Amino acid sequence: MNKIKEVWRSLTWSFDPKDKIEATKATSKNFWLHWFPARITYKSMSWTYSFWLGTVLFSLFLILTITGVILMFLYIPSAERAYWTIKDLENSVSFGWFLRNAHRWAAHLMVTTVFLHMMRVFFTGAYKNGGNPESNRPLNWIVGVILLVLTLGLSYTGYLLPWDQLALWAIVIGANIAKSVPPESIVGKNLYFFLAGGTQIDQPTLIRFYVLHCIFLPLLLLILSSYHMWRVRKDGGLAVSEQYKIEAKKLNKRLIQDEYTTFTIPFMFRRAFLVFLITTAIVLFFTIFAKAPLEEPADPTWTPNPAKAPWYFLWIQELIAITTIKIGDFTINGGFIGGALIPALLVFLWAIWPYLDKSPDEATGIWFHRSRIIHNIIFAIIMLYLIGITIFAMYFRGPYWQVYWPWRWPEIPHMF
Amino acid sequence: MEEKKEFVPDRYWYDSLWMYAFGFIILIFMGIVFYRSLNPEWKNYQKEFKKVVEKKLGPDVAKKIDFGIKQIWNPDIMGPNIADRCITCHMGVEIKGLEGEDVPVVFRTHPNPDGIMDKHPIEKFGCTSCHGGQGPALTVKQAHAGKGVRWLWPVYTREMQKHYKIQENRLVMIQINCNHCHRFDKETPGMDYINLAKQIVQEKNCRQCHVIDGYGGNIGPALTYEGDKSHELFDFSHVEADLEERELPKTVFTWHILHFENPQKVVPGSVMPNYGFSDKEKVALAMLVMSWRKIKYPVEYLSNPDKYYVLKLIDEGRIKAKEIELVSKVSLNNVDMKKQDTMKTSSTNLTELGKKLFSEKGCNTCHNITEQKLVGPGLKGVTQRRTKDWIISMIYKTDSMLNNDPIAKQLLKEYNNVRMMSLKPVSKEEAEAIYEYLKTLK
Repeated sequence: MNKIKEVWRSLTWSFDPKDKIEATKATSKNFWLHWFPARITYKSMSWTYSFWLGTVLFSLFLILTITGVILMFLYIPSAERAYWTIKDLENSVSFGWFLRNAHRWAAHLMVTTVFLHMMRVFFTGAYKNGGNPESNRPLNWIVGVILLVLTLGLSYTGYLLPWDQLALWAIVIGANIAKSVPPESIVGKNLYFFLAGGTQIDQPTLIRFYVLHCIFLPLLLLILSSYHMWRVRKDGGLAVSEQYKIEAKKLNKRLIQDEYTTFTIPFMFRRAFLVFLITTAIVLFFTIFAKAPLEEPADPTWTPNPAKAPWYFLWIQELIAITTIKIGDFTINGGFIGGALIPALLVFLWAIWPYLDKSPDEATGIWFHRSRIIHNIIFAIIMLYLIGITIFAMYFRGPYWQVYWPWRWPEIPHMF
Repeated sequence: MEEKKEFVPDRYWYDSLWMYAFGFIILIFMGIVFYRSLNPEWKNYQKEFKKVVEKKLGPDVAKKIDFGIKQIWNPDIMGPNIADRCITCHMGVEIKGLEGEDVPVVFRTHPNPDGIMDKHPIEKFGCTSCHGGQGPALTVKQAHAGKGVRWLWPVYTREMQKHYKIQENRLVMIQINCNHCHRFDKETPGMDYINLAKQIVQEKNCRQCHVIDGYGGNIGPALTYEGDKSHELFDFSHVEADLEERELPKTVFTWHILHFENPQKVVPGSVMPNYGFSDKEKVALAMLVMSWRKIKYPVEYLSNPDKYYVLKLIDEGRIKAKEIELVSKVSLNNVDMKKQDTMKTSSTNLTELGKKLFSEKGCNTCHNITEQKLVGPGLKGVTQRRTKDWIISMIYKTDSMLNNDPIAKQLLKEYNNVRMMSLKPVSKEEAEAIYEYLKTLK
């Protein structure tokens, strides 16, 4: 009995330290936990500073990986059979509906959370070094922007896999945007060819998207997000921690470790686990009470009207509609300006923003700091505009991209 | 037990409580997931079925019932990926002795009118190839694919017929699917609606204006695969008022019914004449055009497979559809060429021959024999209005008349520039016969 207890203790001691020395060693001596710092500032433990969105994202990635790997056993990436394997998941595979719903909802939540995470970092000025010469938070912000694009890429490639009308036409729209990058005959056409693996969305596209979705993008995301998290630690933890040093400097006081930090294990680890549980509960809630859509099998000869991109790309589709200008018979297609140029400029602007932000060190890690009011207003306006046109495109755009009230949406005719 | 003592004060002690709380919530959610997965809808039906069998056929038979998901899979007819799982709930379809009215419809034995089930065994044809619906689905809503379900073809039901105001106490819409394989039958027993529609197609010479089964005129749209046309290709803007007023569902099928009722109202400016079809005829024609779909069944399932093959050759451009004589010898519903030849030689009465030719050459498609105009002018009293030469020339060398003759040009303008034409060439002798017939229209 004692032997069993001993073994158990040797496995679990680092999650349940008995004294300060054990608590310190808990992180450094455990392979799985060693990228945590031994101590964490009280301010970074706050719920309302970060909303733990990074941890939420990690949890979602974990859920997506687990459900995704199981789904890989059940899915056939073939244009003839893909749709029917999804139908089988819905109809006859044990827990098939659960896996699919969970994977889909976790993916949607991940896209949402990644945007929220970015907004949180921006509004708190967390991309600032705060006078700490050791840290390089602007670089981590750029990595974050890349991770955001990767997340969108993962979601987009996954969107095609069910091979139904919804998937096919959302991908067609995306690929056509790529096609409109000028000069069309050189860049656009080849970009489309590269994405689709041919001159139309078909089996070669499916296998490309499948490999990207299951191997290439997740691995890249894993590597980059590991670097992202490692950088957070090398930059001295969350940006809000800099506030202690700034305050101490102001008061000309020495910082005593025990006064402003506590042990990562068990406190921070427990809270991270709690966040994981909350995230799982939310995913389960959506999984049970909202169905993942599955439309008719993909049919390249029949375009649904309106054909819409996935919701996180609707702002791009709406921008295309806005930048398409008609003067008499002459039409300037917004495919390039609204579909490629503006989004690319936005991503570029986001990426370099930390280098344009000359606000004082005090603004580091503070929600809506007064010195950054202009930054926050500009950012808020852009984000609100994008969210606004996304909602507009989602609920107010009907057949032929005309404007309709959502409650007066024209009924789509059926066959019988 | 060791005494539990904190080495630093736990200021976040409430995290533990939340952990238990959310752990509990997850447990409940997972409970729901398991409950839902282990209690699918079809299990209730199977339990119910066992009770019914016990009552009707005795406990011995009931004991033999095998539970679980049942399916019929015939890749030839359903494709490699679809199985019909209808019999998971409709377990009694093949069990004799469950015919009675006291057995719930779900479990009743499949009726066998005119031995139809002997010719179409369930294990070979499955269910959805005739009835429509979503074969692989296992819930009532999804399988029957009614409103709100994203599936291509719903199950045809009497309920659905009521929506279309079809006054029948039996299932007739299912004939749409019969006609997938019986397309080239002239007449098929049991398919009264489709038979009626086919008769109309022949009588009214729809091919004068429409391509049907690969050949025909090009004044109207091609109809060979009308049933495959997506709803996007139909303009509903002129039927909305009717849909609301008469409470008809907004579907392509309704569009066809309303279009047969009044073509100009549904498609303004259309030259298709309003033939004044009865309610039954409208529905029958709508069913017929909806049944014209490209199907991929193997030869042994098709009635008149050689004609399907000809149609395939026309589709692929390997036969010129314009070579009507060649095609019409093997194609559907068309006048039998041999018969026509014998008729021509044996008939001595020119008026009688002219009357026959008037419908065979398709004159009646566009011309009424009264004064009423259809696509072209009504022909009552035409022989008094025009000279004999003019009429005969107009019939047998229409094109040159339309290009050169001033009266013909004037008429062409008057009648919306729809050029008079016949798919089947008319000889001078035949034109004379038709003239004789026209003379009788006074």
